[in-house]
This record gives sequence, C-alpha cells and structure tokens, in this order.
Amino acid sequence: MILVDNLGYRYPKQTELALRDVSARVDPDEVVGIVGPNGSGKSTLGRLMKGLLWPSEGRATVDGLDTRTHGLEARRLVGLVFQNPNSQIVNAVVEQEVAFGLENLGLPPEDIRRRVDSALNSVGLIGRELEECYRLSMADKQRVALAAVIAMEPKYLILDEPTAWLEPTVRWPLLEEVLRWRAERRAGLVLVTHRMDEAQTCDRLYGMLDGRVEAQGTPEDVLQDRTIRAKLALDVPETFELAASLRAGGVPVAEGTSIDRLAERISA
Amino acid sequence: MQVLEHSGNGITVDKGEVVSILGAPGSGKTRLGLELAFLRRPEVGLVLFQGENPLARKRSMQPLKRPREVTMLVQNAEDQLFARTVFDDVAFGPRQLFLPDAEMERRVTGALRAVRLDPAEVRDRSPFALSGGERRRVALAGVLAMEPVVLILDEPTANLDPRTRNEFSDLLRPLRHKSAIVWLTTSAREASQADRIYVLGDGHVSEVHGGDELLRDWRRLIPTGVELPAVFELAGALERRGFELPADVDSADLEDGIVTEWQRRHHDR
Ligand SMILES: Nc1ncnc2c1ncn2[C@@H]1O[C@H](COP(=O)(O)OP(=O)(O)OP(=O)(O)O)[C@@H](O)[C@H]1O
Ligand SMILES: [Mg+2]
Repeated sequence: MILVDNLGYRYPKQTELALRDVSARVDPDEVVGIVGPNGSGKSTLGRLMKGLLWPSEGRATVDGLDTRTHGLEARRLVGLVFQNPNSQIVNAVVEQEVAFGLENLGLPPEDIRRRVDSALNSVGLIGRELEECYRLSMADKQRVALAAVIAMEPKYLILDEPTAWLEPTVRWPLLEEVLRWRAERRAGLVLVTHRMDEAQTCDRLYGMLDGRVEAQGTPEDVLQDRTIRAKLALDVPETFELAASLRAGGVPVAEGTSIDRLAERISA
Repeated sequence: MQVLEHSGNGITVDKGEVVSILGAPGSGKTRLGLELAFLRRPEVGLVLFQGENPLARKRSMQPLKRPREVTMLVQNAEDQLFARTVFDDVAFGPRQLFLPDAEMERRVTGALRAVRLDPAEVRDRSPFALSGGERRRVALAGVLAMEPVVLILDEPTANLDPRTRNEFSDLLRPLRHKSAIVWLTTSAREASQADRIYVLGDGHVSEVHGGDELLRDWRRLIPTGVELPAVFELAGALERRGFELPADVDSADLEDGIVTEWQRRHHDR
C-alpha cells in the first residue's frame, strides 16, 4: 500500500505549501484517480508517492518503506510516467529508452529483450524499436515513456495524464491495455487525469483543490455532485450521463464504461 | 476583410473571426498550421497575408521575411519557456516589437489575466516552477501578448483542466477585436465553438458552417477519427456492429434512434 499521512510539501525557495494535510492511500490491486484544477497539486502528490520529493511535513510510505529513509527500495516498487514525456525520455532510440531501467538493474539480456518486447507490444510500438525518440510525435513519446515504466514491472504505477497527447481513437484502447496489464499483475494504479470518462473508471477518486484533498470517494460520489464539480473545475463524465439516459430509455446498460463496452452491451 | 488565405485548399480567415480546423492527429493539421503561419512552404498553392505572398521575393537578393503579424502557438509550446520569470517569458514576443514600458506592462498582465492566471502571483515566478497546465497557460499568454493579426493555436487545450477547456472560446473572446484566430483541434466539440469550421479528412479540406451542421453530419466525421461527443461515438460503434441509425439528427434525436433500434431488435427476438 502507498500511504501518505498528513503530508505537507513546499517546493524549494517557495513560501507557500504546494500540498497541505494530504492523507491518501493506494492499495495494491486498485485504481485510484486524482482529479482537480490546474495547479491543485496532483503531479506534486504523484512525485511524493514515487519518492522523487520528500515530504516537508508528514510521511509517505510504500509497503511500509518510508520514502525518505528507504528511498531506493520504495522507488523500485513505484513506476511514474510524467505528464510531459519530454522530461522523461533520456535515450536516443526507442528500444534503448525502454531497456534503460532494466539494464541499470543488471538483468540478463534475454530477460531485458523479453520485457522490452512485451512492454512495446502493450503500447503498440512493436516494429518501431529503432526509431529516434526526438523525432516522435508527442503521442508516440508518451507511449515510449509508458513502455519504459511498464517494463520495470512496478507494483504500483502512477500515470500523470497519460493520455493528454493521445489521439481519440487510440486513447481508450491504450488505456484498456494498461488496465489489463495492471489487472493481471494486481498492481495498484494511480491515474492523474482531466478526462472525466477516465476518472469514471477508477475505483476511488481524490479531488484536489489548492493543495488539499477537497473531495474523495467513488467516482459517483465525486463526479455526480454538482457542488464538487463546480469547485474542482470538473466536467460531467459524458459516457456516464449517456449510459444513465439510455437506461432511463429502457436499454439495460451498466454504469458508464467506455464507448466500446456500451456498444457491445447494446448490440448483444 | 480577409487577412489570410490558403489557395491550396480554399481556407480563408477574416479579420476578427475564430476559425477552427478539425482533424485527427496525423491528418496534417499541424503542417497546415505551419503553412498558414509561414513557418513552412505550402505543398500546394500559396498562402496570402492581407492579399500578398510574403514568401515571394521581389528581388532575388532580398531575404525571405515571414510576417510578424502571424503568430503560432505550437503543440508543445510549454517546453519552449525559457526566461527567468513568467513576466519575461510572456514579454519576450512583444519586446521584439519595441513597445513602450507601459504598453508592455498592459499587454503582459492582460494576457496573463486572459489565461486565468493572477499576474501579481505569477509574474516573478520561474516558469519552471509551475504545474503542467500553468506552463501551458503562460505559453499561451506569450502569444496573446503579441496581439497578432492572426493567431494560430495548435491543440491549445491539451493539459488544461475541464473547466478551462470548456471555457476556452470565452477566453479567446476579448481578443477578437484585435486578432483572428485559427484553432487547430481534434475535438468536434471544441471545433463547434468557432464561427466557421474546416474539416480535414483524407488530405482534403471542406468547410462547415457552425457546430450544429458539423455534428448533424456525424456519419461523415466518424471515419476521420476526430473526437466526437459520446453519443456520436457510440452511434459509430453501433453502426460498425450492424445497427441502423438516423443520419442528419442532433444528439437528442440520435439517442432516441439508438433506443428505438434497440427496442426493435429486442422485440424481433
Ligand atoms: N518545481 C516547482 N517549484 C515550485 N512550485 C511548483 C513546482 N511545480 C509545481 N509548483 C506549484 O505547486 C502547485 C501544484 O503544482 P502541481 O504540478 O502539483 O499541479 P497539478 O495539479 O499537477 O496541475 P496541472 O493540472 O496543471 O498539471 C502549483 O501551484 C504550482 O505552481
Ligand atoms: Mg500536473
């Protein structure tokens, strides 16, 4: 479990706290969403959970390991995909980037090959191993960054707006691939997102505002509440509303899932 | 008055209007944007700014000059912030125009306010000490402060929170008496907020008048791979599974159509 307890964080040379009194947890085998307006502290919370930043107040632990005193072990358990792939990618060539972390772990070459292939397969980059990273579109860079983290087979995976740059037609297929990957391994997943349909598929949500957790609960609790939505600059989850309205029309669809699942159910 | 024209595909932009160009990623939207901004030579035809081709040399020795009055916010513009403070970053463009200090101040604070950042709070901060969405807003403020005749925005809402994304066209409103805006987007919902819409599909461009007309023609939009409101996406997915749904309807009627078709199929069994 990732646990943050009364966490406060102040960036160097800043007077204001970027996070205040934040308590949150991520269990293995659950999908936790983080939503909230620009600048509310989502990415900062992700970095503290990964142990890239140390709390100014309170504590962050991963499976009981304090990120401050047992940083290396804690960080190994957590994979973080950055909001901006340009700040993550350090290697020139796609497969180098994906193999990079594994090589640092000193794994045997056969294992590295297998893991790299499987990760590239998950993000749909098979056949593009030798392309140069800097030439890739933002969408493809985002895929490479994701593959590099997946290849490390972390126990917890934090994705900071993983689909911001993805084209609509691949956004859901890719996300479902990640969700499948996660489910197979029973990994914990943290999804930072501005997309309400993505938030809708999480088990639980934290709604951030001004560095605090302003709302938490199931996606229905958080997203159906008009007041919370207004406060947190959120939107109506479109597929959820659509599913509800179809149900009202007598079509027996489940609570809002992806478009493809809705279509499957309706045409069954 | 026409300020920009691309003869290769019939795109025109009038003074003060918001024109959107809707296309899936990979449809050539960015290339088109670069061509309209004179950052790339058009593959077909000419691009004219206020009736003239600025890339035409009058004499062979004359250097090519792209007009400053056309500015583009590129896709990952937040990666190009570089100054020590937010103020200096936003002021960089207008400084090239040699404006008096008071005018600089007015433009920079005005642009920061337009993107919903508090000038007093952010002006002296480092652009690197900002969240992803805040950085994008600063990048956007930078091009707004230029007050160009034509402003080309390539997917400007990526990274913005849902409210700001929904209100994006409001955010552009105060600019309209100064600049014409070309808004490149993958989202039909965003595109429909513009005065006029060009749809990019199969490498050619077609014009649509207003958001209603755009969405009523949803069946044509499905194969282009642009992002549609959920009910249209669902209709597309159902048609691929053999459903027959009404064409030329709005979202409410389309939803009724889905319910009716489901009932019909259910009844037949
Ligand atoms: N490196 C930094 N140094 C100082 N302050 C920072 C830094 N990064 C972020 N901040 C500030 O901390 C606060 C929280 O930022 P954070 O990046 O966590 O927000 P966010 O919720 O991820 O926003 P977005 O939706 O825009 O990505 C903001 O006020 C931001 O300006
Ligand atoms: Mg962020």
